[in-house]
Amino acid sequence: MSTLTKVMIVLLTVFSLVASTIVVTFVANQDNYLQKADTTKRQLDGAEKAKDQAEREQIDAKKASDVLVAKLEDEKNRLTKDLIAVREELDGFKRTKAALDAEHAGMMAAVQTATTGEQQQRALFVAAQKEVERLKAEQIQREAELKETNQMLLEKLALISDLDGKIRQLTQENQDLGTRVNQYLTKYGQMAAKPPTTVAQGSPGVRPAQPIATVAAQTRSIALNGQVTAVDLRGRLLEISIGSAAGVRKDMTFHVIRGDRFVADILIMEVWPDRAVGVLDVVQAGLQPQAGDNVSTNL
Amino acid sequence: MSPIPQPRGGKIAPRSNEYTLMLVIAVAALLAATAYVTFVCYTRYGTIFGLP
Repeated sequence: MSTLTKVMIVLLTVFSLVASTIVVTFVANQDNYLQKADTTKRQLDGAEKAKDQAEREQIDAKKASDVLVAKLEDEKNRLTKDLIAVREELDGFKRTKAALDAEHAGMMAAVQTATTGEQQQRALFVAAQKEVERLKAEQIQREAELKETNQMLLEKLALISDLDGKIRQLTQENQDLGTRVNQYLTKYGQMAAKPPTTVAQGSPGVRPAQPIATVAAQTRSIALNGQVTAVDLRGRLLEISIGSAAGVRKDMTFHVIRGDRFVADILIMEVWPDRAVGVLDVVQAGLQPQAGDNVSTNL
Repeated sequence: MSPIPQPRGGKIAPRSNEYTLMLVIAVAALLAATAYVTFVCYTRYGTIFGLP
């Protein structure tokens, strides 16, 4: 056997083994295409059936959607009608609201007018109340002045009564003296003259009324007392230590007293709350008012 | 050809039976591969040469 034949045999053996191995490995690793085809065919059949089912379902769904569209169309028409009705009702409400707003504005204007009138009336009431208070104060002041005037009048009447008593006493003395003179003249042979009389005895015009003493006592009980704080003799002015707070009023008369002696009378001209100034009216001869003298409305 | 190797001039010279065995092995491998492929084709597709 030649060497070439031997080499060819070895190569043939090697290649045979290699080829067999490759073929067996390839065939063993190959997929089962028949099975795969069957599987694919079954899948295709299933897909076809699914397609048919889907088409049927699509048709059913389309029918259902058509029915639903029809229902929705009916619902839309109904809702459109309802919307129109609601809009009409809304328009009515708007008109009602506008009318109520106008009425509200009118009522607010009326309320404003009433409030303004009420405020004006309140202001008028306050002003009237102040006027009433002022008139009351003025009335009280006038009553005090009237009372003071009444007291002064009573004092004057008391003084007149005293003077009337003195006049009657002097008249009586004058009559007694006239009687004596007549007696002397008669005694020495001359005609006796009727003694002069200035005031008829028991004249009712000058007879003091009985209650004067009581009124005078009452006047003395409410007397005002103070002191002279400054004197201006050249201007005949005096300042006293009491004023309107104590009841002093203009045109009141005060008596200036030093101890138990009467010094002067002053007529009040100006009054302040805590002091007053008056002018000298009657001055006792030989005496001059000075600071520190007492003043009083009653002697 | 003797199964016992005979040294010849320093080279190993197989006997002719060994080449026959190698040919047998090669043929057997081819036949086995062919049989396997045939079996597989038949069992998978039901036919050997045609289309299923």
